[in-house]
Parts: sequence; structure tokens; C-alpha cells
Amino acid sequence: MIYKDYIRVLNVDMASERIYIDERQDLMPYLGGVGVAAKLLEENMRADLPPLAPEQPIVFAIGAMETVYPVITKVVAMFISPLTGELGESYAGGRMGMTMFQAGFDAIVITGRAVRPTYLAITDTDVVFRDSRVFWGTGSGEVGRHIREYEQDQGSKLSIIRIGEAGENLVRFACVSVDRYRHFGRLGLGAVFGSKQLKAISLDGNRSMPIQNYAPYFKVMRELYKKATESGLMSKYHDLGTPVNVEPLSAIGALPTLNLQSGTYEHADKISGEEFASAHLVRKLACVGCPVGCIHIGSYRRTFAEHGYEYESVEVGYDYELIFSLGSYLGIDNTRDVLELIEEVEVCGMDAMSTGVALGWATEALEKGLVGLDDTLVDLKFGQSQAYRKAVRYMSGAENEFYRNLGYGVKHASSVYGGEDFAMHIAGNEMAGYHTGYAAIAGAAVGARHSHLCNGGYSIDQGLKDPDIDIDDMANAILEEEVERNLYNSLIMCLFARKIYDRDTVIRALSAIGQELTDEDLSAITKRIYATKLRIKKALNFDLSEVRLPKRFFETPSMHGKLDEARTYEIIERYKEMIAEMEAFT
Amino acid sequence: MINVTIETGQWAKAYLAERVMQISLPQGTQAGNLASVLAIGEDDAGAVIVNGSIAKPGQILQDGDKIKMLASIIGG
Repeated sequence: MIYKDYIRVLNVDMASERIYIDERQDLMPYLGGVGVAAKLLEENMRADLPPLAPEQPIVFAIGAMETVYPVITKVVAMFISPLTGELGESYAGGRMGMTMFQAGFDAIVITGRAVRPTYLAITDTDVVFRDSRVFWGTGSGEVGRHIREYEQDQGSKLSIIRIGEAGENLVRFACVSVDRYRHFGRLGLGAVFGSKQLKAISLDGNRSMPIQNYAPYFKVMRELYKKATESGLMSKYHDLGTPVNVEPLSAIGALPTLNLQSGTYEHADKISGEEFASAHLVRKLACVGCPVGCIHIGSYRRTFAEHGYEYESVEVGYDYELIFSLGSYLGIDNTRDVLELIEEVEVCGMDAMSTGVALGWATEALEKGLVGLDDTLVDLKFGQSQAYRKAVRYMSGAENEFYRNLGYGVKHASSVYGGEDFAMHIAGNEMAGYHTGYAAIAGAAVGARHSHLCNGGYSIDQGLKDPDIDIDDMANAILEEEVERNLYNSLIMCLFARKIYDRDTVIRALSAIGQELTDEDLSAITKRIYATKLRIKKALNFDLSEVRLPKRFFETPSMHGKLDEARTYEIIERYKEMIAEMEAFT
Repeated sequence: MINVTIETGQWAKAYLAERVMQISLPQGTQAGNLASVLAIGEDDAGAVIVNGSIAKPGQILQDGDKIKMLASIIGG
């Protein structure tokens, strides 16, 4: 959309293997990214059908400043979530944003179910439906390597997004892997791929960056580059990265541990960011267009044969969320075992957070006798990583009825077997790694996609001097952040960089690439996008008043002490009142 | 003045020469103000642990205290 007054949309029907391309001027008021994707989801979704019906769309969109400025690296995927049954929204970096841009598509809408396992090869000159029966059943890493070899004439910058076994088996929190180390992690996009027999998409193109007026562009570009690399605002993401959070969160009682039986982990120092760095860190990578490099890769050695000295080294991407969910949450107290579990989840193609939280619930359900060993097949115990590795495989492969139910998420599994009080989800989405206080819980409940990233509630909690904040003030703080993030996500910047992109900078950056927008325009865009999401949720029958939170959130002290259940629901209800009029905004 | 031991992590390398340091501080220094006293950026410094317990609001540091300063929590 740079220097254009329309959004170029590639529409793909998997069933008929037909495509058509739209040039949509009417989408410009949505700016790009999440705005365009939300509108396209609203237009194409079928609220009367289940999330995995062939008619349901997958929408990808790049942002209004994709790849043109530093740290503007992400692609948004929107879909109906098979995990929560309502709005699905997920982000990934890697090379995908650049390759969509170079292929000339601002958005891609995929509907229908292929007659056989298929992968899409999309370039600026063609869209090919390739038979991928041979890849069905392969892990996400393996299929990526094969497609790269097959499509190698497209060059090394090819982006490949794909699912593993979990997506094929419709595990409701299956992820989509992007290139080697990035993911559309949350809310089950992988299962939507699987339901369409869509194993993978390769993307490439040769379109160049059409900068027309270099002087203003380079002025803003240099300023942003300097902020990203020299100001110190981003260096912490490069140094230890988000794993630096493990020890501080444990110290303040906010690190979910042993299925949130505690907010403090006695072995936090053994799985800290520093411990991972000193024992395993071998390199740091960046998404295309990012000068920071926050992707931390750890290496470990493993045997691959039962006899002799046969070893291979395995490289695994790690960050805080993976360490919490497959570390402290399961009582795993050493970095090597955490990396092995991450690798297992990666190969199967599941969201690590949902996987860890599901295993935490299953461990307690077994302890309490709600399920038996004939269900779990292995003796799940906190701290026993080898049993968890087997359970990951069972879940991904939908091994038996218990693992099929667990693969629907902990909300569903606990409705079948009991244990709702310790099934740690918020509106169907498994909890994130921050037991910080009211804003983290209420924020995820009211957040459009029930993610900690909808409004950064955990960050609001940390900034509080007095946890007894007024309910109106808290609901308002959450709402303001929820709405404003629609701007970041329509550009689409990595949220780590939000401090270097203030409103004035965004306006100048857009102006330098031909989009003249005012501060008022941007505010209207954020509200328009949020209103679109609210309409989607309403059409899918989501009602905030029906959200019920597991009791354990209120039993285990957070960083602000024990939380009052009634007060949490009051914040949610106040938020509901605040947004009542917003969905009509156009 | 009081003498305390401060332990930090790699995150503080831009501010402090050593990970474990003995330093002198003015009498009456509050744990919550330690980052600014040491000229550590507010965005970088997180919780302060004094003698194994998280510092309470307004807690005054004492001579001989063993302090652990943690990084601030970062994320999207």
C-alpha cells in the first residue's frame, strides 16, 4: 500500500484451486495490518459455522509500513479460533512480512478445503497449488527444509510457513511455524491450516522498495535506526532477551509455578536468562528489517543412536514465555530439560504456552485422581521432563480420548474430567506467564483475543504504586492501551519497539512514504479497528459477562498479594460498560 | 554513610563495574530509590531484594544489608 490508495488482496480458494486479486480502496481507512485483516475477517467469516468449517477464512495482512522502517517486521493472521470459538489474532515475524511485500500482496484471504494435502507457492507472478501428500505427517522443521530445497530457484530469502503433526490432527492450540524460529503461536491457527489440508505456504517476490522521496524518508529512517540501536531502549531485548524476566518475576511472586500453585519458583536461578545464556546461547537472530536481534538460540547435544558415540547438536529458540510454560509451570529445574521440551513442542507444532498449561492441569488432575494412568499413559509428575516429552507427542498425535480432549485446551478438558478450579485459562485461552495482579487477569479477559499482549495488563500491574487502584481507572487504563495497540498492530511493529514509535514519529514516518494522516486520523483508525473486532466477537456470541475465571487465580498470591475475585469481575463489568457504544464506530 | 553489598546481573553491566560490589550509601537511602542513587535507568532496574526479602515500600537500607537488584520485566 506504500504510495498507493488501495489495499491489494490475494483471495485463494483451496477447494477449487482458483485465485483472484482485489484492489480495495475502501480498506484504506483501516490503514493496514490488523485493521485490514479484521475487516476482511468480518466480511468473509461465517458466524453460523464452526471454526474449522471449510468456509471459514484465514486472513494474513502486512502493515502500512512493512519492512520500510526498523522493527516493522510482523504479519498478522486473523481467523476464528478453534480454541476459544471466537476472534483469533496472532502475529509472527521472520521473513514473511518482507516476502508478502515483495510478492505485492497487502493481504491474503484463504478459504475452502483442499481435496488433498496441499502447499501454496505464492510469488509476485504466480500462485501454485502443490500436492503435499508426501509431507503430511512430517514435522514442521522437516517440511520446511524440503520445501526450501524444492523452491530454491526462488532464492534464499524465501519465507516458508507450515504446520506440524498437531495442526494436521486439529489440536486446537496447534501453531503455524514461520521460517525456523518464529510462530503464529496462539489460538490454534495450525488447526485451521489442518482443517483446510493446507500444510504450508511458501512466499517470495521480486518487487523492490518503491521509495519516491529519499530525503524525508532517510531522515525518519536514520532517526528510528538510531533510537533502535543506540538509545538503550532496545538493547535489553538483544542482551539476555525476555528470559531476563524469570528471576525478577519469581522474586516478586508473579512467576506461574507448578500449575500456578505458586508465584515463586525455588529453582528460578537454575532456569534464569543468565543460566540459559551461559550454558546454551550460541547466536542471536533478527527478523527481516530489525537491527536489534532478539531471537536467542540455544544449543544442546543429544545422542541419536543407542550404540557408540553418535551425537548431534540441536539448536532451539528460547524466550521467557517458553521457559515459564515448559519450565517453572511444570517444575522443570534445569535449562537442558527445558530446551528439550521446547524442541519437542516445536517439532509437533503446538503453542508452547497452551501446551505447558495443559500439561500442568493434567499433572494435577492425575494427582487428584480425576484421570488415571490409563488416560495419561505416562506418570505425569512435576519435574519429570521425560514423561512430559512423551505426553507432548501423545497430545500432538491425539493418541487416545484423554489426549484428544486435552488437545481442545484446558477449558474443555476440565469440563469433561473436572478440575475447573485449576484449569488455568482466561476465556478459553491458556494463561500467559504473568501472575502480576488485577490488570493481567482482567486485561486478558477483556482483551479482544484474550492474550496478555492485547493491552499489556501485566505491565499496568507493574507500574502500580498502590494495587488498590480505583476500578474505573483500571478499566480505563486497560481500554486505552487495548485501543492504542491497534495502531502498532496496523503498521505492524514488533511490540518490543513501541517506545521508539510515538505518535509524532508515526505521522512523520507515514508521511515520508506517501500517507498523510493526522493525530486525529490515527485515533479514529484505532477506534475503527477495535469496533470491527467487537462486532466480530458479538457475531460469534461472545459475552464478557459469561467469562468465568478459575479459582486458583484468587488463591495463589500475585505480586500484589491475593486478588479479590469479586473485584476482578467488577473491573470486567466496568470495561463492558465502557465499550458498549464503541462497536458502532465507523 | 552505610556500607552494603549489591549484587546485580548482566543486565546492569552498563551501569556497574562488577556484579557484586560493596558500596557506601548515604544514611536514609530507601530501597525504592536505589536505582536513581546508582544512576541506573528506571526502565532497566526492577525489584530490590534486601537480605532475601523483597523490599517494602519506603524501606530504609541499613549498614551491612545484602541487596540483590533485579532487572525490570520486559515484554511486548
